[in-house]
Amino acid sequence: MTVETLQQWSAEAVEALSAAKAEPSWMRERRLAAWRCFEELAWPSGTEEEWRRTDLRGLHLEAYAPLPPVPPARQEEVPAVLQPHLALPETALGGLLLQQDGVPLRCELEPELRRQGVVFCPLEAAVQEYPELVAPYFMTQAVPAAMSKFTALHGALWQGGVFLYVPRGVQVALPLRALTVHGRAASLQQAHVLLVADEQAQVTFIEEQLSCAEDLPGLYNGVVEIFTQRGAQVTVLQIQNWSRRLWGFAYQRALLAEDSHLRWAVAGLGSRLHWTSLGVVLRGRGSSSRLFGLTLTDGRQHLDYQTLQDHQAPHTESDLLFKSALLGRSRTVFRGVIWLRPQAQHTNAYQADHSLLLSPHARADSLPILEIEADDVRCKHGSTTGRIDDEQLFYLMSRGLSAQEAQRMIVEGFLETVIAEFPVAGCQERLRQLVAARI
Amino acid sequence: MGTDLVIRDLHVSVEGKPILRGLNLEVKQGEIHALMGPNGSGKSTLAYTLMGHPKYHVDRGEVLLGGENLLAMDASARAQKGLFLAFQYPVTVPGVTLANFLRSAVSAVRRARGQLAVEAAGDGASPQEVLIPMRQFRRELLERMRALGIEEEFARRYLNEGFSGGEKKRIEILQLAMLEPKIAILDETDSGLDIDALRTVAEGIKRLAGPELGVLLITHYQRILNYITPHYVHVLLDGQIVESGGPELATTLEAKGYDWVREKHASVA
Repeated sequence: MTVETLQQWSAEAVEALSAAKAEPSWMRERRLAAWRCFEELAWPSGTEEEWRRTDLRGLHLEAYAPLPPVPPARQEEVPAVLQPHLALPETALGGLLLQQDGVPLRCELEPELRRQGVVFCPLEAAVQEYPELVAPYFMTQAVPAAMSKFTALHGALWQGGVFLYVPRGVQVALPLRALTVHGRAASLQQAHVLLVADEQAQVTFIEEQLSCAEDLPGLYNGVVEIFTQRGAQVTVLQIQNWSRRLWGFAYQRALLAEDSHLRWAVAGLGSRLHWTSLGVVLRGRGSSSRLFGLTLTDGRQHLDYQTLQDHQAPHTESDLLFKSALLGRSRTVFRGVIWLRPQAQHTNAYQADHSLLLSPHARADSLPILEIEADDVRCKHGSTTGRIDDEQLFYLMSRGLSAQEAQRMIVEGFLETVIAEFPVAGCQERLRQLVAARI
Repeated sequence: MGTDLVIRDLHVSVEGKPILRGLNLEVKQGEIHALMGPNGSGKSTLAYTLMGHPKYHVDRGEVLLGGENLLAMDASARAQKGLFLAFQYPVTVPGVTLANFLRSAVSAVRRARGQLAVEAAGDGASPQEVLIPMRQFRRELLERMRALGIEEEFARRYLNEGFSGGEKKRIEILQLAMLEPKIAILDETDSGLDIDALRTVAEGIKRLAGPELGVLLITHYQRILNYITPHYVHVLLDGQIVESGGPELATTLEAKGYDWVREKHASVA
C-alpha cells in the first residue's frame, strides 16, 4: 500500500475533481489541505491500538478506482434492483434521498419541511447552495481530515453524501431516510454525511448502505459528522449492508452541545471487512447520548468497532449497548473507550457488549477501556462472550420447538433487544427480515 | 387408548452421581398424582429426566408415554407427544416475546399432532414453518390469559424477563393450557408463592385437570394439596418411591414430617 502505486490519486486528481464539480474555492482549498495531510500521514502499521485486530494485508487499494467526477449521463430511472428498497415497511417518511455511486437518483422532502427551512439534499448541492451552513462544520471539528490517513483521503476525494440541516426549534416528525448505494464494481466510495440539528430541533435520520449485488467488489471510506446544538434531540439509525466483497472504513463522530440528546443505533450486517470508529463527544453540560449496535456476521466476515464516549462537560450521560452474533469463521472486534475528562464531574457513563458465538470457529474480541480523570462520576461496563445457553435451549425445546427452531429463536431474541432500540417500525421490520434471512 | 406415563426401574445419575435408584410410577390420563419428598430426594431430577434434559443420564430402566419409548426422544419430541414440564425455575429468554414464543411452540406441537392444516400457511411457508393463524392464536391466548388472571401486556413482554416468582409460575400454567399435553409434570410449582398467588395457580391447574390430562404434582409441601386433591400420593426418598397411598398420606406427612418416613425406611438409605 504505497502512494506511488495509486496513480489515480494525486494533487492533480484532487484539483480536477474540484474543478469538475465547479466547487467554491473554500472547498477546493480544503480538499487540497486534506491531500497534503494524506501525503504526510502513514497508513496504519497494525501496531496501533485501534488497528491491532484488523488485518489490512488483503486490501489492495490500487484495485479500486475513484468514481467519475461528473456522472456520465443523468440517470432518471431507479434501477430495478433498488425498487424494493425505496419504501420502508409501514413507515411514512418526511424525505428520501437515494444516491448510487455518488449520483442522486431521488431527492424528496416534504414541502412543509422545506418551507420550515429544513435542508435535506446531496452534500455536493449543499456545498453550492448553503456554504454558510456547510463550511463551519465540514471536517472542521467532528472529523478533521488530519485525524487519519483514511479521513485525509476522504477529505481530498470525497464524493456523494448527505447534508441534513434542521433549523432552530423545528421538529421533524417523520424520519428522513438516505439510501447510499454501491453499484459500480471495484469503485472507491467516499460518501460524506453531515447532519446539523440547530438549537431545540428534533429529527430522525436513517441511513441504509447497500450494494447492487452481494458479490460486488468495492472500497468504502466514509465519514459521518453529527452536530446537535443546544437542546436538540436527534436520532440516527444506520444499517450497513454492503456487499460481501466490500472493504469498509468509517469515521463517525457526533458533537453534542448543552442539553442535547442523541440516540444513535447502528447495525453491521454486510462487508467482507469493515472497520468503524464511532464516537460521541459530550461537549455541552447536560448532554446525553445512547448508542446501540448490533452485528450479525458469517463466513469470513470481519467487523471492527472502535467506540468512544468522550465526556468533556459536567452532568453528561452516555450509555452504550452492543450485541454481536457470529456464525462461520467470522470475527468481531469491539473496543470501547469511555473517557471522563477532569471537568466532566457528575457524569454517568455505561457500556455493555455481548457476543454470541454460534460456531466453534467464530471469534469475538471485547476490550473495554475506561479513562477516568474526574472523581464524582459513575462509570460501569460489562462484557460477555458465550455460546447458546443450554438451559434456554432446553426450556424452549421442552415446549415442542425443534433444536433448530429454538436456537433461531434465541439468536433472534438476542439481537431483538437491540433492534427494539431502533425507534422506527420500518427499520425494525427491515432488520428482522435481514437477520432472519441470515440465521 | 390413553396416553399413560409408565416409569419402570428408573436409575438416573447426574455427573456420575446416582440420584434415582429404581423408581417405578404410572400416571394415567385423568389422574392426579402428588410426588412428595424432602430436599435432595430426587424430585427435580425425575422431572428433568422425564422431559429429557441432556445433563441427566439414564443408567437403567424405561419410560413409556402411550407405549412409546420416551427415552429415545429429545425434549422437543417428548413435548410433541404430549408431555409437559412446568419448571420450578422458568428460564428467561430476552428478546423473545411470550406471544411469539407461544405461537411457535403451539404451532410446532399442533403440526406434530396433525392438528394444524398445512394449507393454512399462505405466503409460501414450508410445512415445517406453518404457524397457527395469528387471529386464531390471539383469541386462544387471550381467552386463557383471562382465565388465569394474566394481564394482556404480558403477551408482548420478553419471556420471563422481569417477571415475579408468582408471574413466572402463572405463565408456566398458561403454557400448559396452550400446549394441551396429555401428561403434565409440575415441578414445585407451589414454591416461592404467597398465598394469593398459590391459590390462583392451583385454581388454574384444577381447571385444566380432567379426563384428558394426567398430572404429576411434585412438591415439598402439603399446602398446594389443600386446593388440589390428588388421587394418589407418593413419597420419594433417596431416589425411590417408598410410600404410596391416597390423599390421607399427605396429611400424615404434614403432621409427622419426613423423618417418620426416613426412620421407617432406614434400610433404604
